[in-house]
Amino acid sequence: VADPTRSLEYILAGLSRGGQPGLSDQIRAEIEALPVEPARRRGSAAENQETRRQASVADDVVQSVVRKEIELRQALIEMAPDLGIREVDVIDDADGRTEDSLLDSKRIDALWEFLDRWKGQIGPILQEPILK
Amino acid sequence: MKASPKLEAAIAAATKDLTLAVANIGSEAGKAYEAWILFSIVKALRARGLEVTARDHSDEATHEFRIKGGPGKIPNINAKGPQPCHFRVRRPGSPRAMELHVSIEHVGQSGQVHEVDISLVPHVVASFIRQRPNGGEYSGPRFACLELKNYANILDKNIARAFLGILLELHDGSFHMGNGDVWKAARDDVSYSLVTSAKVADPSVDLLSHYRMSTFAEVTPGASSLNLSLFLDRFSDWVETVTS
Repeated sequence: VADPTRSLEYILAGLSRGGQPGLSDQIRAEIEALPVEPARRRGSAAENQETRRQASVADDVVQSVVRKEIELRQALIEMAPDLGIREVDVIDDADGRTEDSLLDSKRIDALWEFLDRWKGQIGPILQEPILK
Repeated sequence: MKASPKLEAAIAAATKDLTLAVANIGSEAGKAYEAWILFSIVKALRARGLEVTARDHSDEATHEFRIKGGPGKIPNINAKGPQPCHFRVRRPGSPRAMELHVSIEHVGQSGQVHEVDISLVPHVVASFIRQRPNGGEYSGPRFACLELKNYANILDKNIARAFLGILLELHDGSFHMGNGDVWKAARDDVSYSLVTSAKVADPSVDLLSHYRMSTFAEVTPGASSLNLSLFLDRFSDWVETVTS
């Protein structure tokens, strides 16, 4: 089991604080499934290498999940008119309030915008040179 | 390393808007996958000539389809406020109507309730439950139970184990008819399928297949439509059989 590095803890905590514990749970599961790499380097170089490896996993999970969500919503928007459906709302269990509108194209725009911002945050970690 | 609490704050800021726009993305509560599978089924059944209509909780035709964010009961027919919807499925000319429901709780043999992501149940039983003062969990024969998992990579074997437990609990649902007869379903009356966007390892497939439960992996809009077509063909065959 790979130990999440400090950087990954920051990424996971950031997702949770931003309100996406589901994504952080999936990333944590993927990191725990990573094979342990033999320590060829010591100290900060090894830590840096491990951080990049785990950040890459985090990036893969987030991009995969968000792109799949975009595909699903686009497919729903294309399919709904043929089925005579104008709105698909997810409602709150307790009070029936609308939590999500699956046919709202603005939410797809928001997903793309999120991906752009995410790349801006994770990019510097992925590109950081490995310390020798 | 330069990583610091600043990174945490930056990621939190990046995801904050996402949460407002798309609640629960990446969690089991994400509903887009359930809705997409449901609509794909409806489209496939209509292509085969079955009558499939969206219905609100009063069982009236609707163009605004609502899905509950979490598992819930079948609501009372006169319940106030927004309530979850379902699809009614019928072969033309046949009196034997069915209903497709999303995320309703089913009562198992133990008395415990279990969420079924998509279930196909007799219209007559669902109607009976809708007439109760507070509606209720579904209790009665069922014809299909779909477990849907929208995961990123490979599905854990514990998912298959949990689904097997649901089969054990739900496989012989019965319904007490008004005339004193009991309508009891047999195992062969019910189709159980695990449908997922993820890959599924052979041990999970073998485990489920031993109990005649089907597994459909990598069913997504973007991937090869072959997996989706295979699932829809099998499911539509089954619905045609049980509605005839």
